[in-house]
Amino acid sequence: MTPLVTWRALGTTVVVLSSEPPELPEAAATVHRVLDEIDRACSRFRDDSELCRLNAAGGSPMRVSRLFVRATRCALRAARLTDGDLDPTIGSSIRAAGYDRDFATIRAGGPVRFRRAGGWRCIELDDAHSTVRLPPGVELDYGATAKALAADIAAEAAARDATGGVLVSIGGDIATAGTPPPDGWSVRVSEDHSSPLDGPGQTVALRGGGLATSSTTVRRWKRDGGELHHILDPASGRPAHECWRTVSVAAACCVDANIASTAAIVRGERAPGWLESLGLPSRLVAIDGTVSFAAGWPEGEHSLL
Amino acid sequence: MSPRLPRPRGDSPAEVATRRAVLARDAGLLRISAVTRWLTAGVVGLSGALALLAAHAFHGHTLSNASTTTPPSVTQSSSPASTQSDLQQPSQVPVQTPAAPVVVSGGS
Repeated sequence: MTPLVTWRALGTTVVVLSSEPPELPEAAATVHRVLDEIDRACSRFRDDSELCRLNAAGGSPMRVSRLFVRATRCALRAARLTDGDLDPTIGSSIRAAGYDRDFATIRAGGPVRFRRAGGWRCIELDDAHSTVRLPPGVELDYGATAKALAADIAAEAAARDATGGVLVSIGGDIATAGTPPPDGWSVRVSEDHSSPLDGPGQTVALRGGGLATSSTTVRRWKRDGGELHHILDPASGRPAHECWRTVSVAAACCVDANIASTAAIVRGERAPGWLESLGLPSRLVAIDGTVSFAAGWPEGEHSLL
Repeated sequence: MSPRLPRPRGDSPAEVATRRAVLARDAGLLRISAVTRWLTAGVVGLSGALALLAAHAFHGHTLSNASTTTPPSVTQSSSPASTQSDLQQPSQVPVQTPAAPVVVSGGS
């Protein structure tokens, strides 16, 4: 059994692995520090985070940390590369849909008035002066990119002074850095990151870069007798139409894998062609459990049922 | 205001008229030169003021990297994710493996 360190952070499970077990404690400590910084910058659920203070700034520009600038650049890049299918101004939409507190404490509720996203082009980032301004009423949510960015930064930081390789998983979004084990990192690709290692899914060897999985099956809650999930279509503010229930993508880094996997859920039928055109190896699970593959992902079982 | 010219003795009226015309021309040129200087200074000042006004009114979306003076931190290195213009493919495609998995990738 490969030694690992695991704990809860950013509302999900963090796992750190090192190909050199003696280096694991130091790697885990570095990941801890990175996640603390990301949480202070980008959390939607702590009033003292930079993101919450900016959302409450009422249209005034706010000076932010370099980390927040980086997270903002990352979110804007995701919006640009997906033509707005991922939109960081979706904060008020997701709050309106009822996901307005730590997921573990969400209760069933009444009718929802869906709100479309404010529109990512309204974000004014002054990189040189480290300031960000939002129009009044627009709220940010970096949920689509911040965890993946944290995984990339943490893995890179942890591997910097290590001789071996490091794998960081945050809620199943995986970043690797350094020299991997000889046969790669063996990853079970599943629908739920909390599934057991021998649960349903496919096992692949990852030799570098990132691997992310987005799914509509995990964060669901009830409103007005119906069920909602957390991947919203920014154009309508409603949960994305469920063509694919789970999409896993491999890319050069966790951020890119996560952008692609989440946008694929929003894009629905158009997703396989888009992923193929980008050359991003992908595994898509349809709503009926049928599994499809794109861009060279190794073909395993074609059905989960 | 045209300068008054004392009429030198012995000059003919035609010479006096010519001298006056020359002086009037020189005075006019001086006035035009002064007005041009004021206009130039005014245009330069106005352009500067408009540029400042525009810079404050339209912040723009600055996405370029900037140097930083904040203390070093574990979060300040740059990964490809921040800068690449397209989503980047992995250097190696994942391969199916019979090895026992060490971690799960799934929705959260």
